[in-house]
Amino acid sequence: MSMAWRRLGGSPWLFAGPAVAAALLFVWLPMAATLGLSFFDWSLLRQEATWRGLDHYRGTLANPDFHLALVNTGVYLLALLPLQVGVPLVLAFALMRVQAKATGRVYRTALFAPSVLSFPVAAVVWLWLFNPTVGFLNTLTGMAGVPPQRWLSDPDLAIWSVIVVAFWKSFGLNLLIFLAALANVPRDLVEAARIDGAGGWRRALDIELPLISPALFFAVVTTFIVVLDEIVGAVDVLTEGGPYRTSSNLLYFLYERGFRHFQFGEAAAVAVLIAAIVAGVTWAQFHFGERRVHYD
Amino acid sequence: MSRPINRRRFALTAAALAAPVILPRHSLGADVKVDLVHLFSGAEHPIQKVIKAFNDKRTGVTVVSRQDGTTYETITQKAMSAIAAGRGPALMTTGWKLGDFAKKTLGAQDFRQIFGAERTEALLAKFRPQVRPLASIGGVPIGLPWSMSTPVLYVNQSLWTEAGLDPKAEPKTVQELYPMVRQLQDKTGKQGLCYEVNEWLPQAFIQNAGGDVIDGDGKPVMDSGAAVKGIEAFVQPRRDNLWRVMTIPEMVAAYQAGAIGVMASSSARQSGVRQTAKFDLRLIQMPGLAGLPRRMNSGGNFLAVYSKIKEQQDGAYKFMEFVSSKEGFEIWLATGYLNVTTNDIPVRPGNEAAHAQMEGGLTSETIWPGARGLEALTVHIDWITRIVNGAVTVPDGLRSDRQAIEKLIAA
Amino acid sequence: MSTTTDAIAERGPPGPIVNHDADLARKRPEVGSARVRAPTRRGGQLLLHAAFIAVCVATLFPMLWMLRTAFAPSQDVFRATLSLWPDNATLGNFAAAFRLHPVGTWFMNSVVVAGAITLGKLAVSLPAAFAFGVLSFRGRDAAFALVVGTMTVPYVITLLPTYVAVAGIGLYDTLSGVIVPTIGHCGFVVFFLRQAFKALPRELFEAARIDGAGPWRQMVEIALPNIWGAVAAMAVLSFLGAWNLYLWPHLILDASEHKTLSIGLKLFATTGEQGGEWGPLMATALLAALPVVVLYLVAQRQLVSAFATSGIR
Repeated sequence: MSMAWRRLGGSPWLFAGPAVAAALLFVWLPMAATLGLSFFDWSLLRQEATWRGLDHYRGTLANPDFHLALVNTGVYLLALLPLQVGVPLVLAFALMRVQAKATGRVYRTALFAPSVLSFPVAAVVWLWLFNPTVGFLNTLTGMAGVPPQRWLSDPDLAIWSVIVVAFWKSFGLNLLIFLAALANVPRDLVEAARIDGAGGWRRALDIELPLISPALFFAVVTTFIVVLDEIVGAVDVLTEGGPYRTSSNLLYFLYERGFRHFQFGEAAAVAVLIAAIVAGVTWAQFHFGERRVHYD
Repeated sequence: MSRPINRRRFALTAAALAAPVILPRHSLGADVKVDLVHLFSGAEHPIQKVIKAFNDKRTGVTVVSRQDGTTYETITQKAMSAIAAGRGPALMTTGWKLGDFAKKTLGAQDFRQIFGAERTEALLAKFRPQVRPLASIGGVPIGLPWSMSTPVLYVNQSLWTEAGLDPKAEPKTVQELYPMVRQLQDKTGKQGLCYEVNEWLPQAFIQNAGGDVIDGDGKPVMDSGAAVKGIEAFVQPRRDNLWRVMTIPEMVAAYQAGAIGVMASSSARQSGVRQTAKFDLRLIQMPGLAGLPRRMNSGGNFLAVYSKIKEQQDGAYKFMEFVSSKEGFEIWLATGYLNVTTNDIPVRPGNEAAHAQMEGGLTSETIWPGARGLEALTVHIDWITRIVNGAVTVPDGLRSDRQAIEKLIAA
Repeated sequence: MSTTTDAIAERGPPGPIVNHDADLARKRPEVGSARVRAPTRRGGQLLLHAAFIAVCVATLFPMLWMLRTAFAPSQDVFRATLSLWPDNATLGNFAAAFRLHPVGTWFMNSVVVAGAITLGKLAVSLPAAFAFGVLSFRGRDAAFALVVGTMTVPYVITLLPTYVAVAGIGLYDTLSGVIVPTIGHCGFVVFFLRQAFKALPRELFEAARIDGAGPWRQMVEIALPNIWGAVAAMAVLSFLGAWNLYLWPHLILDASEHKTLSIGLKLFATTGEQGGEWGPLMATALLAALPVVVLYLVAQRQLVSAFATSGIR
């Protein structure tokens, strides 16, 4: 093998090149293309592109269905963020206090199990439970003397049914994150506090909680993404955004504009708006969240 | 469980995962392959039997069944993506209501162009003159008017008689029907009635009240006084707690489980419902409105050709020849669709009501005009759903509906 | 193009990342262990167990109900009893599912898609992570930022152009159309593996260099054997994410025999319900859940340590 060939074969760019090319080709380039597309009327079905300027942005911002999707996204976030962070947090603290090790592991396994399912699988399982006439959930409410509910076709209930499924399917992930973080809290610190006479609650709130705040922060950020992006699988299988879009969210709205009705330019504008919202919220999270997070 | 994953195990797993990448492809020999996109579920559905009967004839054409969804909207959306990506279906059961959209946006082929005027005439000659225009858009024949159905009432006869109702009663108007349903619900404790929440059944109510969804000039008029009256009659049982609103799949499942007394749905849902229902089933004509002339609608699909390949187009022709023949159509009638051909086939037992309704005269289904007709249809169904759920009054809902549709037609 | 686990894999932990050199060395106490001596009284522990058993039963119930329905004979599917195992358990629903839809093909497609995405992501990420973590060259930091910066981009903004491109080069309705663009979203894998490479002592590579080993040999023979744990964790996360992909394959795949389980389930759910086919539908859902549940049980340790070592404590 010649020296030149060897030098080429050992070039760091041969190592890093594919990843850089993939990032450019599949993320950065499409991102720029989306921005460009949002100014045009064009789709795979119409050959000529028409310049529309900011029309798609104006149209989207004035569209009542977009408003509904925006409000619903807010509802999903306001309900799911506290649930998906708070409940696993309490469970993690409690699980650390279970003295029987093996049993604790069984609990952990059981609680995380739904999280490995995909949203559509989770949704299909619940679809069966939610069925208004033959589903088990109405049998259960019937035993409690509550009249049968239309879980997925009642416009006031549908979004909450999706929230239940999303919570059930996702809280385990945060539980795992919190457990890992709690296991990393230096034992001597907790011991010292105990010797100083701090009770169980004090130790949890004053010592452990601040020490796992980076994990908490991480959980908030990822949960935000999950709620924004991924519940689309649950929405699609459970309600298709209905009845009359009352359980839709921003991503589902984009999917409908772009891929059901083939309004690519409009959908691109929606994508840019979603990205702007995500960027804004992420910035706020870092700006306000980071300061309160303790890194050791 | 806690064994560390070492390199060997990792490599083995990787190899195991990579192995099935090369999958054997299903081979159909030298036959011309014609894929037929449709919306009929189940291995037992008559469409599978029609396809099998045709393929068994070994004409050198193999039709491949491709179910892409359960509504015309879904399969049309899927087809739109596929056509845009250059992989459109050869044939599709295209909803009557989306005929204009199929021609303008999906590029359904003009039969006279791909088959020639003579062969087109020979093919369509098998169909009754009154249905032939249904698959003609702007005078251009783009489809074989294969499947026509009409809304009927599915009566759970076991519950009906249990409630002490006359087993032979056939309410002619909803004003006669609703008290009977009330009696059924009170006596049996089961849900009395369920209507489909879509655009089709409400159209029957609007027409029977003397209105129209879209008029002859293609203008949306679903908020006329007559139309409002029709929809008021439609939502009445919901207000009277006789009808718990649910989605169509939920409704069919509940009906099959014997949890609903009377269901209004397409006569073409029969093959599926009959298969699983474990009670006596009686179909009766859809009632009209008291004091007004009956004006029931039809609906269904035509077979349209989307392929641009000559061999596939000719293959599709052979298949369409077969389905229009007496042999092919006899199999198809098991669905509950109506005999719209000139073939002499006796009415199937159980389907007499639908046939009687057809003999009484049927209008066509609303065709949603324009290149964005599919979107218009979706918006319309959304408004109907809002009205049915009581989120908006009937006149307000229909007015907003009309305004939204006007915009989409103009676009 | 991502699902829950993938969300983590794509974006990764935000904020300054604690270099975990020291973490790797430190022995970690086991998660769920009783190292916090809280309610020592018997009663407290009993109460705790009672609460956990209740919560676990509630959490597992929907999955157990799926299991029950999947094995119930059709006449018992609608019978609302609280017993979690059908009296005359049958495999009939699986046979029925395979008759109604090409479930076997869906399963194989899911295996191919998830396997190829996992291997692809690792093949692209490992050398890159090695270069960013061990080698030094001009433009390294810029290139690293370019790759890892993709974690901050919501994938929806790439959806339309990628779709157009995939359709344009004839990959619509092919598994490759699903696989290839998804491999590109490997920012987190690169980031995570780089951390693992960086944690290795430099002397290891010095010695190899003196022996005349080039960078490829250094990576394969020196570095890789020391970071199998990290690689395994990324493989598991990528596989879980890819197995659960929904929106992207939903957009790209069309013909029934090209679908993956996740999206085939959607078709089945809408068509199955019309015929009241709950048993076969749950059997199919079970098939879709089984591989990931098994993978989770086998690789639990790797997953937990993946979270523990990513510096998010």
